[in-house]
Amino acid sequence: MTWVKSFLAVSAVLLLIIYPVSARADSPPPKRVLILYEMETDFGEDFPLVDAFNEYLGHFNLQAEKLQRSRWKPGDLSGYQIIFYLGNEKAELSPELLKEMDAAPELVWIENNIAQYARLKKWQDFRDEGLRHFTSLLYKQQHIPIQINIPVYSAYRSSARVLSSAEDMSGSVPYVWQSGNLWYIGRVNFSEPFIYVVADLLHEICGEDHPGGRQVLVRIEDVDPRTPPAKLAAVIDTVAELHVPYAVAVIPAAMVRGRILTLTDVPELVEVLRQVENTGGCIIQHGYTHQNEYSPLTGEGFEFWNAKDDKPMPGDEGVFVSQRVNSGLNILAGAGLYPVAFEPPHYAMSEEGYRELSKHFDILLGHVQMSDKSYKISLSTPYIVRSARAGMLVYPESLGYFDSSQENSIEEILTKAEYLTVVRDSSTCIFFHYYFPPGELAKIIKGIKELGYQFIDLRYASYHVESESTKIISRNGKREIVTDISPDKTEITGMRLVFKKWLNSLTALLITVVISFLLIIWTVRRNKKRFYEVKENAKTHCG
Amino acid sequence: MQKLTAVDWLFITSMLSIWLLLLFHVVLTYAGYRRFDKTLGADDKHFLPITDFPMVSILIPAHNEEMVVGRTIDAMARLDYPRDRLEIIVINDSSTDKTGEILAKKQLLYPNLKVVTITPPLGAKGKSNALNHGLKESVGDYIVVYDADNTPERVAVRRLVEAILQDEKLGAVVGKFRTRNRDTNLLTRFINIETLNFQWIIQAGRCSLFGLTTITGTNFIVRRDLLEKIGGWNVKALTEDTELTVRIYEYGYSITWLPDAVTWEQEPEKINVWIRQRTRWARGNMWVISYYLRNLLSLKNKRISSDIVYFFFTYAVFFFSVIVSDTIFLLSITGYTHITLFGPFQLIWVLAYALFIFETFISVSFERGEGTLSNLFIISIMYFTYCQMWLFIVLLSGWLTLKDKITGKGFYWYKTERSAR
Repeated sequence: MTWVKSFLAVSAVLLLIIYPVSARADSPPPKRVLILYEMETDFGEDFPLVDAFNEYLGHFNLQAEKLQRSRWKPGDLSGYQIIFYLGNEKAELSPELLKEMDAAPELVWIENNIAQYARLKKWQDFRDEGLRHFTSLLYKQQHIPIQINIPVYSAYRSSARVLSSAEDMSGSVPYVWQSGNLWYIGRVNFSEPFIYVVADLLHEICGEDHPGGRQVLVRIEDVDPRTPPAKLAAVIDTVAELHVPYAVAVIPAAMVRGRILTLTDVPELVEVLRQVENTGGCIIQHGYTHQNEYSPLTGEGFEFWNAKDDKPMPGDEGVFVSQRVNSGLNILAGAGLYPVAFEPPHYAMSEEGYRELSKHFDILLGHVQMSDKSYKISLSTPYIVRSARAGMLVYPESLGYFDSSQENSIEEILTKAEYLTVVRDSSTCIFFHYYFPPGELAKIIKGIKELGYQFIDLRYASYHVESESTKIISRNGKREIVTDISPDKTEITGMRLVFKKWLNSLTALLITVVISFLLIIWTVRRNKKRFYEVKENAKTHCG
Repeated sequence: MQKLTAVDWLFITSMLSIWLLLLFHVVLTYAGYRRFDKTLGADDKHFLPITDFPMVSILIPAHNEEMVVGRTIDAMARLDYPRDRLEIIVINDSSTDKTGEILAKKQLLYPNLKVVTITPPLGAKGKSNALNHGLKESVGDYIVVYDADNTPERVAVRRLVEAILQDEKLGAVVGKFRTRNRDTNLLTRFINIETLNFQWIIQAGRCSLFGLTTITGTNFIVRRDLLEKIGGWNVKALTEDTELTVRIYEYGYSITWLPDAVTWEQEPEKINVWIRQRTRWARGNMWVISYYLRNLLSLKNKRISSDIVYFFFTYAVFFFSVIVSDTIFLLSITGYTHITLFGPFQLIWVLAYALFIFETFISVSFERGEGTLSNLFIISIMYFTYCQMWLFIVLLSGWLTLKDKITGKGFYWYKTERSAR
């Protein structure tokens, strides 16, 4: 019976090996949550509050749906782990609704109508002081200043656990508090740094404590074919010397006096850009020409938005976007440059534009335009989110850019970065135009380093980029490129050209030689009589 | 405008040297084929009938060869050559096994078998020394050398004599050696292919194009008077055959390769035996090359001096180029470095592989029974296995030579272990 024992032993070992692996392969399923809201926007305004809130939820492992409260029918709230009630209007909530809201495992109440819930719960220690103005928010021992026109609801239970308070000169009242299965937030306003408190507290609310670590992406901005290679090289050298990873936003073509100038026309600049990946950098595709007929100047103009009339581009936007993305990516591939992510010029893109873009890129940089009504309606989050609006993973930008005309530009940037430290796993970006003195960027980087920021290396993100000719897949830092475009479409000169020609000649020669060898083999084998052979039986020699 | 990096230049130079050598071998392949075509036509009738057989002495150095020497002597006795014009001299060099007994028994059977026994301090000084002693005791006008494990074909010596009589400018004639224990294991299969490749391409090719042939230690005939004039074998050389080759050419003679004179020998069956043997060859050849390279300009014979350069190129330049390009390749796939050059690299690598396979297959196809599918398969895996061992051998040899130079040690002989096959 020993073979039975050994069989059992072997299968036991195999199970031990396989089972933990397959167990590890399953990640927890996303939590189902519901945003129950009074109005999509504030009264008379265009900013889509609900969609913006949904964007923030994209930082977590959630499956979010939204439902307007006036459309609620009994039973609609069952099956959700968390109900976010966005009470951005005064309203009468029916007792059935209130009871159903109360039955949710977790109820997050924002702004209005909390008094009705307090009555249902028969809270004795509840106080409702209505809208008040405060000067700052206190959170994690940090005071975050409030802009004067953001009033906050002052409504609380004295027995509640207070996570954050709103302060004014006289004192403080609870701003975010928790009691039983209820969380209350006195105000959600998406301006920065106000929103940082809620952004961080969402970790507690959604039950996902992400390991801390603030990070920033350094982005060298608006490099196009007219960029002087030496100027770009100077900025890159400065960043590389600081041993900090970075990204370069490249515009592959420029409209110059009615003619399109592309990277293939400027091999010196391409040479500099090719060194980017060796010095810790990566390439971002920043559109195709960074302009269109409505705003025709490359670098200043909008590309995927009609900025003149502030509306989406006419015609089939899907075709328009894919043409531009493909053209840009073809030029980059032809220059041997392979982008990691996409940054729409001025972050402006319509819903349909995003839909097409998400077929080509996994990662979007910057802000997300939240509405087709105006490009000015956009959102920047304090951390990486899977954007419901854009359909891509967004690495946000919230530190702005260096502006030499502003005297305290660097201080402002560093102040923003300091407020952002309130969010435990913040992710942001600073962009720096190549034509400013590199020393200023060095100052910014040093200042951000001192605030405890790590620097993002997008080369190690998992992503895929796809165009009609090129496919780039990166997993765990290993990149695979499949492209129809060989980098030698750009001008190769000098020794490289000589060497390449020599290799081509060698290839032709080798093919000829191999064919001739095959001919020789065939000739030799054809004549079965003509071989060298042992004249005597070999066996006699083996004694 | 666009600057090439240091890695680029290293890559370019290594590629150039590698391909220089590989293309030279392609030329040798064509020449080897030409030689095959020409010499195959010759049969017994084309050889000069010998009316006056010269006196030939066969020298067989033997140290502890009890496993094989008996059979070797029997094969010598069966040679198709007049018995009274042939003497077989076995130099029993300090054997501690039954070699002496076996030889004594054989002497009862074969009257033309002479046994020269040497012991320390005269003996145990290597093959060169043993051969020199054998030479002293010999009477032949022509000397033929065989290793103790060789079983030559019956006409082998006759063919060698006929060839050297044809051309008085020939100082020596080298025959072909084949692998008797070819089927023992994968290693012997590799070695079998390698020996055919070496002889039909490197030997035959150089012989056909430049009249250059290297003595390969066994199955060769050399003029006695020439040997005596140039001072016999060099006891300081680890590879005494290569060293003798240079001196023969220097003295104004040439050497040719004769595929009709065939001997069968035993090749190493174990990898450690193989490593020892090849390391000895590599070290010996390196010694010969470095010795003559220093005096390159003083060599009178331009052919042999260019042959020295060819060997130097192989061991030094080619070797380092392969190491450099392998390193660049490894570093580039791990992302540590990259070349900024463009070209059809993958296609060239595939073509290099195809070139190797077909070139080697040509050389084995010249021999009956060797142009087989199984040999083709073995050749295709040789590229990644057996051939890469060469790098290791050269490295090891270089290291050992350096070590001995530093510690001031001399070399000493390794005798290749035998088996009963």
